Amino acid sequence: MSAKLFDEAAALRKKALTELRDMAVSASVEDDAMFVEVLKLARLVLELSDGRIADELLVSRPTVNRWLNGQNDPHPAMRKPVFTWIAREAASRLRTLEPMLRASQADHSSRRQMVAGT
Amino acid sequence: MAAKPESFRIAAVDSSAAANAFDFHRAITASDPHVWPRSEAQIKAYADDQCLFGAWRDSSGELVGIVYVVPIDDQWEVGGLSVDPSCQGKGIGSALVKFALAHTMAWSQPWKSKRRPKQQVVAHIHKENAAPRKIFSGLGFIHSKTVTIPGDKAPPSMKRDQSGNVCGDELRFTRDGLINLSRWFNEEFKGVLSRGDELEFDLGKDTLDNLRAALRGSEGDSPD
Repeated sequence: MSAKLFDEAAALRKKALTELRDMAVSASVEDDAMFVEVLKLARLVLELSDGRIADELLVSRPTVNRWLNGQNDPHPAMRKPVFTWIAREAASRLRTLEPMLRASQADHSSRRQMVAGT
Repeated sequence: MAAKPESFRIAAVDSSAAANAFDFHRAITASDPHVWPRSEAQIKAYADDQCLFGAWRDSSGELVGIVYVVPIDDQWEVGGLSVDPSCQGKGIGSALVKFALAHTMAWSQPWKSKRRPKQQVVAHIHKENAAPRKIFSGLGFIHSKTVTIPGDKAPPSMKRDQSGNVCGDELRFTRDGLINLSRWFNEEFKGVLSRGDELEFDLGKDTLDNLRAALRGSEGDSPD
């Protein structure tokens, strides 16, 4: 595998997860557009199916679908747990990602040392 | 002598309980010609999609009532309401519909739909079906139109009129109904039904609190 591709993908993933987490933490529940934006980003970055989102929130899959296509949305009072869940999921994936980044960096530095030693 | 009070629980029906819910529904529709029978696949799909709700008797764990809320075209239909004869008259049917309505209003805000016209929340009731009519009227549903289904388009179990058609009414949920629903969840209901039976909504305390807040926050909404 290309080490460069690994590093780039990992860095992008870290950036996306961090931004998603920060958006979910700071999003206003009153902002309808923001709700859909965070949900769409979460679906992409966390690779969530509509069914998985529905199961987590105890709503129907078509309900999630209608949120995503902008037809309906939940009352602001229901949105905080959605954001909390997304922030927690993003944080959890970041924790999984960190050791991989460290391992990759350690790998690079040992390779650099090998190169320097020849 | 009044029956001894019992305890009940209301929650969404899990996929794993869909077969049980279908057996219940089939038994009801076999004996009641006013309830539109749904297929096993439909009941399963409603359960999979978390839009089927049930009431269980705590002591035996047995399912004693169901209702579903499904979006059909530009409406949300509350349907399939049925309560086991051993539990009728306790307010369980009414509580089931209240839970289903609250769930729908909070998670989907049909009256705030970005699509026009606003989505109505409706129930279809057979002309001769008195019990649910009373429940829905009591919850603030009003008559919106008469519905006539030709005999050849209706399930064989449904009762026909003299012309061979299945006749009923469409009722729609109103703003007054929503205000009453919010008041019931926020102020009136303390876990005990009118005849002393205990009832718990199995939704998690935080979600239930959010649901109450959502209903309070929706009181100004109008279906028109």
